[in-house]
Amino acid sequence: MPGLKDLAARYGDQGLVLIGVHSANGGEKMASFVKEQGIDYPVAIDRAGKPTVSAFAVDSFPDYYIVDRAGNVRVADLPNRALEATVQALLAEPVPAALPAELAEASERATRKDKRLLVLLGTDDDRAAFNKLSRLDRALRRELSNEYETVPAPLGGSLAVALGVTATEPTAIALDAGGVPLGSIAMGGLDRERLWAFAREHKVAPGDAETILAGALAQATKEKKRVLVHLGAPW
Amino acid sequence: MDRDYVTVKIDVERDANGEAVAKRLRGERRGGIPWMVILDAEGKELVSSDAPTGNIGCPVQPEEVAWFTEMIRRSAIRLEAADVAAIEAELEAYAVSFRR
Repeated sequence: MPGLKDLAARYGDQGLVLIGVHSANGGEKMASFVKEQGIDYPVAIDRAGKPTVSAFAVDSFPDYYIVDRAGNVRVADLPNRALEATVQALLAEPVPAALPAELAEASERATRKDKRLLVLLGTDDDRAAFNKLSRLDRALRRELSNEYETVPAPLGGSLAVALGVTATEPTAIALDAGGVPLGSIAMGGLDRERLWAFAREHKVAPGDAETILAGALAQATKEKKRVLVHLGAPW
Repeated sequence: MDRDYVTVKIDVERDANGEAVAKRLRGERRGGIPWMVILDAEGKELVSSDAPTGNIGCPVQPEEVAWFTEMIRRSAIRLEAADVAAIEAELEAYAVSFRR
């Protein structure tokens, strides 16, 4: 505990946030312990049935789980000796820019569906030409629909400014679901082959269903669980 | 749910081998997607979203919510009756907004 207090003190101003979770067993003593130790970061108590212990597959105490600034669990089951180096590594990563408001809804959908964002900067006519091009090829249209949430926006508007786009020509910008730009391409003079290449280059890397299922079964064996498989499709 | 289930989504169109895995799990059964199946850790099917009336798909209607709850009831390991009831209540609260 002194080590964690020290860690919080040394890295708190860089953005480190500590959250403690006490096991359900002995939870009634947690408040007095926290007070005695002068612990000033939040400490929760797991519920009966140990849902938190189960969800994180905790196999020893203390155990550490490191979440990055985007909210992703980046390291699980971290040993004590690697804690500080891991915190340092993640704090050294760039701070993600705030998501522009214009992308909020599309970002939520893209995150939920594991897709990317495609911002089409230009006029309605520019976007109509872009859509006409994609409609020429059914597979391309499906690829764009499956892999991207499209966001229309005017050139020079607030979204273009937020994304740091200075282009004066109609431009398509691929972003990850969190709004980080991945690449752009001019919409003027775009042909089917180049649009295909652009769409493939920036889409989410496909998973392998065999690997996904094998990993789930291995986890279920280790944790004595079932596997709930959801078969779905983008549409 | 996390206490008893490792949940995975397989996209039959986007994931490599998605169609092959779907075929292996579902066989010749029809009824559209989404389709769900609960397996034991060895991969043996315990129960699927094929209710007596057919695939429930995304459980929205009361009878679909009831079958999903039955799937949990039939396959749960640690979850107790109160936990299953809580899952059903949460799903019902979510589903009701999608009903016509």
